[in-house]
Amino acid sequence: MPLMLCVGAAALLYRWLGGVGWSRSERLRWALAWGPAFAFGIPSCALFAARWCGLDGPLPWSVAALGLVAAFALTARRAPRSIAVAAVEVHVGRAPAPRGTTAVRLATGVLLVVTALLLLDTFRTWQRAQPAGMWDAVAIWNSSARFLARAEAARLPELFGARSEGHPEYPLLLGGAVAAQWELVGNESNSVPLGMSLGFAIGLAAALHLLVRICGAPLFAGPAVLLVFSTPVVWKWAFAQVADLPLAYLALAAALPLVACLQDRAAPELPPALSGFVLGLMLWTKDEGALLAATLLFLFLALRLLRGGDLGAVRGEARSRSLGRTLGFALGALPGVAALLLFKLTWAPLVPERATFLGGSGKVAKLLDFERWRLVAAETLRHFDPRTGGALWGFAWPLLGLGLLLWGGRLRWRVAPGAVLLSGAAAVTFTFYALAFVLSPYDLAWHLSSALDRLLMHVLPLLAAAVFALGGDGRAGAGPEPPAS
Amino acid sequence: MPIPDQVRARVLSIRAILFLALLLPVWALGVLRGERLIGSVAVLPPFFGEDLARFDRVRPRLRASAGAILLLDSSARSSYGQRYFAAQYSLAPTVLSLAFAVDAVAGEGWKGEPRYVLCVFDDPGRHAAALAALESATRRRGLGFLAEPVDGVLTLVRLGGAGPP
Repeated sequence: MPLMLCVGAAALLYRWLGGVGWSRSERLRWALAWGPAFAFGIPSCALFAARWCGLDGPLPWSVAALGLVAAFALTARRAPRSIAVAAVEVHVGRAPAPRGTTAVRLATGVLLVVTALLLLDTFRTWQRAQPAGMWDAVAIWNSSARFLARAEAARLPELFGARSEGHPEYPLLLGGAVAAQWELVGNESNSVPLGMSLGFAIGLAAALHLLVRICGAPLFAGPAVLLVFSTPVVWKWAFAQVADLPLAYLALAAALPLVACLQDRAAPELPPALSGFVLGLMLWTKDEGALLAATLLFLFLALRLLRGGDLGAVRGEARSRSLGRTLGFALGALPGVAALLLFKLTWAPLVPERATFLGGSGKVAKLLDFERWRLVAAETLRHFDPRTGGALWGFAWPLLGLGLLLWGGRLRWRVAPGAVLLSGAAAVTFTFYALAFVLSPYDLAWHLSSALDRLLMHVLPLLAAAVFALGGDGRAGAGPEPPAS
Repeated sequence: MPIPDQVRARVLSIRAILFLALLLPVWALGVLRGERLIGSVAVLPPFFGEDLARFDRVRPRLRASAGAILLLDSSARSSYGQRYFAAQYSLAPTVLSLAFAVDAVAGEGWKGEPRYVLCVFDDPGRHAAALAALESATRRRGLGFLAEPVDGVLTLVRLGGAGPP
């Protein structure tokens, strides 16, 4: 069922993204990259909306899901039909292919196939050994799905409010999507959350590949996927049925239109409602998604201002088009954002420990406690160091460090705005994660040991996309200058 | 002498070749370590042991109940999570609360309203003692007590309601 939904969503996206300036291959790439977000995001938001309105059974949420699909089809039809990446592809395509390109492509292709086969074997191992997923899958994510699938809608606020353990306050993208599919297939099969994991993993690969291409480094797109998917921590979490890999995927998927827009000022944008929807889903996936989404948006706006200053300077028709795009983006983000707000304000219980992350006494003392910062830094470095963190990360971090050393000079907003956005988002997000650890109300050593690897996995694909994008021909990255008017 | 742009465009830069060449061992090592990691997953017993299936068997009895109490061995307090989460996952949407002592279930705070208690004890002696204490506390107040053993570890108990059955 999950893979069927992905294929269906990708087919719809392929259709919605058709228009002037799109090559078939680029449409396919975008459809694959965004497919899982729409395949699981639409049913999840629709199911939550139906349940929140007190409507039981699959019919109400199916109607809501169809309504969302129709709305997206309509907005996609009205949106400008051209895209930055198509233009980038033309520029890249015109350049003479450097010697060695074919060998790199061939080797990358072979290794990608081998990696995919090994990961499929990993998928089967999970299916056999841990069909219910890892600890958190049972305790948190699939447990919420069972509440959504089994309880009458009218009782859900009371039930979520009464739960004291298993993070009933966590957002419900996974829970809602799993519950919706359980209702469709008529049983609570473990294959649903497991299949969704596979869908998200494919989406992550497709989005990462496309991001690096958009940044003007198509030759480095495959290698970027190879690095991320040969990192043991990704093997550990990909099929564990938890929300961390989905969030890492959605961060890339949401960054796609922002990077495409930054990389080519001359080209019209994607249907903004579709871009907004993907970004909104980040908030509906995990609490950390709000931070990632805000960081991406803030950096995007800052870079737009730096690159063109067109946020405040647009006039007349351009201003109304810009306002229209912003409105479309906001409307697209509405399902995810509204679902989160309604859930947090009406269903989710207040969890005292989480409320004390920022509030409560002793926060200033924790913030100024050098020992806590040292512990966070030491634990992070332990993950980065292959001698101590190799079992989870291999040599992924040192290689990315080397990449930054080799091409860090290209990390300038005029030359490589996409890479600046991606690496900036990774850096800012991780800084806030570190701050959260320092302020943590839990035992710090326990908190770090239980969460740090998953949080680092959120930023690994962003950083990998940035480094591999820089590694390509940096001059192709910025796209063409806008035509003189 | 600077390398002309045309030449530069015709050949992958040394840095790019070095980086991509280094990716190969990084990939190989990552895959090997990933295989090792997944190998350990493959031989792990399921995270929740037999508890998922155990609590699944009770679900039909609790379907109509909004809440139930999970009474666990106090010696297992530090590792209650496995039992609790397995039970909550299996028995959703019945909301479970946790107790580690009979007094917390059938003590002074209990007004005698009917309630389901899931007694989960690995040690048969402690299991029997907990059931006896529960029964005694309930009957002393003239209330109903009905115990249904599910297996050697789990007993479903219905407390309260009208008189002793």
